[in-house]
Amino acid sequence: MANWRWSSLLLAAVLVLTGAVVVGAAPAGGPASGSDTVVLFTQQEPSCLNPTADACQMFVASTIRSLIFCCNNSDDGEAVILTSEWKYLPAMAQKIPSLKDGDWKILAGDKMQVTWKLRRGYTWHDGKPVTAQDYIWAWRVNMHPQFPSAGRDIAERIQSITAPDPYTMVVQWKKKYAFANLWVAGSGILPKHATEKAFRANPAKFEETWGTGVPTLGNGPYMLKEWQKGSSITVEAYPGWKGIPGVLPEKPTVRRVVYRFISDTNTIIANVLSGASDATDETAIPFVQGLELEERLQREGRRDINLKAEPGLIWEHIDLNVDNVHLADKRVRQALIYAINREEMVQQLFQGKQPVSHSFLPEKHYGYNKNIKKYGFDPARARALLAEAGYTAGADGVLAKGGQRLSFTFLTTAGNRTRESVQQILQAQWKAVGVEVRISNQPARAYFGDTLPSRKFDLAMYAWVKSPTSDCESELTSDNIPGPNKPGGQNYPGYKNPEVDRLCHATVEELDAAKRVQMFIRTQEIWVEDIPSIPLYLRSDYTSHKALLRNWKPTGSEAPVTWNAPTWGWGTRL
Amino acid sequence: MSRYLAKRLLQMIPLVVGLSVIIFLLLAAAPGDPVDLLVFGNPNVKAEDVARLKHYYGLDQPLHIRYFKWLWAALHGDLGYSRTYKQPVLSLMWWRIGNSLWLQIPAFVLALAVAVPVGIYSALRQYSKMDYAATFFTFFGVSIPAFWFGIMMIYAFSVWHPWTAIPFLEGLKLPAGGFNSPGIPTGLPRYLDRVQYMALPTIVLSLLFMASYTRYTRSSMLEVVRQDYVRTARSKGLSESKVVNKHALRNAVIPLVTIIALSIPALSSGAPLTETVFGWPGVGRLLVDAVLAGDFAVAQGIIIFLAALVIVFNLLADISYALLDPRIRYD
Repeated sequence: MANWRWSSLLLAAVLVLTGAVVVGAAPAGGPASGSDTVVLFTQQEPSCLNPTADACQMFVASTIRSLIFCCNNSDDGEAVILTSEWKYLPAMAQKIPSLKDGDWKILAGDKMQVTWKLRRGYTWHDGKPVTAQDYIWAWRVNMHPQFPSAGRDIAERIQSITAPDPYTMVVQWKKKYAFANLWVAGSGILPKHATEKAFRANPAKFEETWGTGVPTLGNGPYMLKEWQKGSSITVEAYPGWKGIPGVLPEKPTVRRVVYRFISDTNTIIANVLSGASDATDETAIPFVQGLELEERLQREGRRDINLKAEPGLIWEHIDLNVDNVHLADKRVRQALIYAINREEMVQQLFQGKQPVSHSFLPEKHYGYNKNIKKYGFDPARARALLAEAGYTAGADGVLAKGGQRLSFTFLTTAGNRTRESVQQILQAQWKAVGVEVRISNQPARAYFGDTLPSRKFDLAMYAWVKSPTSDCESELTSDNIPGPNKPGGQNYPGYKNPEVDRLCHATVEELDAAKRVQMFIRTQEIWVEDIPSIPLYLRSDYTSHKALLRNWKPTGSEAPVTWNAPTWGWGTRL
Repeated sequence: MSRYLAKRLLQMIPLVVGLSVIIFLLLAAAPGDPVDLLVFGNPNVKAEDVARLKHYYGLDQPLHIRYFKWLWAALHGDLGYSRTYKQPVLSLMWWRIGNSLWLQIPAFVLALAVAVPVGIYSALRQYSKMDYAATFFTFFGVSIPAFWFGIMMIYAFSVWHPWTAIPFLEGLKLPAGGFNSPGIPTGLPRYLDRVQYMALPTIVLSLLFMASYTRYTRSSMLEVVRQDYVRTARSKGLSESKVVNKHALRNAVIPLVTIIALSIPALSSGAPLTETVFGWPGVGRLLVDAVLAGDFAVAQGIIIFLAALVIVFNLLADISYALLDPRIRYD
């Protein structure tokens, strides 16, 4: 008996102790931590913040970098900023170079020269001026053979960069590139004075020594104040920040942004509901849980929390392996898409909040073909096409031709509930027209690491991340079909079309935007006829924020929601 | 005894090396390395970048070379470098194990403090109402999934918390996961701040321990109270408390000591589910994250460390058995 009493006392003591240190609850709808602070919740913690290193490419690193570095145009630390309306505006640059103004010139042999003029008076967070040398330095680091960079796509198109004076850069391009006026050198910016020594001492270890904690010098509106590994990152307004005229103010009203990392999404949602979270970024709440949360907020009549799905750039689709004996026939591919009701599927699964896609480009992309052929749900048409291709019904109801049953394996990542639901709906609809589909899913590692690159599939569902400047070179040209000679090629369906090859290579180098649009329109016309992939839908990202937090503007592009943090502010009334 | 000890210690060497080979091969056999994962979904990474990065990280070398390189470095106290965390595996691992212990030790102590008295009481009053209640509670504790219980606790204490309407209980609202409040200075204030974050995960974790320890204590006590020497003690006319505390309990805790010794490696391995639900940067979560991200050096370091710990504590459990129970001898 005595023992029992002691243990109850102990339990009571523990409860009292926990109760005693608990902080008071935040007022409903108001800021969680003071009217000059925004507390953001997200799932993953970045490992590093170095804008050029390969391991720092995760999305959340970019959301934090866009507070610390100026500015984000889907890459960090660039001279041009991308707004939520997908407009490019000059940031650290005085203007965006253009062919018309002559600061972007075509030279002999299809080379180019772009001249950038930087705004003056901007400083790094240690007070040293930001100059042309810092952009040049970032490019050198990115191109260094011993530096593990994953982003040389733009950087390697550049021959040289010179700085006639500290605020002017002259970039020499090896060949034409359509977006040479949006990226200085595709390598962001690095403080040369603070990083040169460490880099020269050991280029291979640079990514491990810089950008992994405080201080990580930036040139943006906020400076890195505290990084509690495994828990949170805090940034504070940099007093020397000058603002971007017409875009970002000089004196942010939100003086402090706190990023907190919680890997479990249910726990993040609990924090949203309890008011501990002022906002959540694009990666915090997965779409399906976002839908449930939205219903719940409506049911409970909570007007203090805004939750919104923004269609983004992640394009879900099914690749059709055109080397498959059946799928080699265009009519079979078209029949497959006519046989499925994508519109009803997105209504059923996503309440229509992830719109059906009809092209390989997102609708907000400048080259999107508004008149693209839209395949509707037409099972009769599907049957007719298959009959025309020579398929007849076998004894088991599955179509066959020349003794070969019209049967496919359908792969995607195992354990992804949304994709599995999509598979089941599509499987049933294909069965209705006599096509057998066997679902065979794999863990992401095996699927992305081996199955897709070695093209061991009939139908494969996954997503590509697009951008406002996406082209079609790596996904649609025949010289990018992965194989022994092209490891890492990304044309997984094995699509070959000479005209698409020509157009997709040419768009990258065409400087006339209007001509580029025409090329994309034509490419989409051909692609939609050939249909090497079935476009499904564009994924939407849920972000949440307290209704009192003003100016919350997700971009729906790779530029994170923190792009305009200096304009955020707390209102007092719903 | 010393010969036995030497033999066991020598046996440990091939065991750990063999384990390291198996773990290395298993991890390497999983398709897709970190570079493949990076490339995927990002059309801007070119084939040349992939080849360059694979070479850079040594992923293009044959398996046995990679293993011997790793082994050589490990023998020199270098478990490699975490690609995703940008830290040496060893320091990352220690830090995460330390964090896990922040939860595990209080949970363990709490569990013992409840389980031992409850177990003894249930055994002494077998089939009483209290015994049934304890049995029900232990089944509840063993069968409830930690992640679900965790979410329910978060819901109750962070979202719902109706008791905050009661005077003196206004403050009893707990944070829904996390490790520390931002902006708290290091040292004592940060540790005090951490207590509120520890409360819920500690309770969730301790429930698991508590339930199984209660069962062990109860069954071991039940066995002992039926022994002849307990009957002898009673017939000598000793008071009930002397019989229980001196004769029965001392013998009943012997198996419990073994179980506790074997639990210690489990304590350092963290609790992946609880740590994930509560956003606690412990070693269990690190291991899961490392496997998912293809960060082999980290996964390997942790698994081998834990395996070695299990082996060592098994030995300690055997030794403690011999020390506590004179009936057991090793030759």
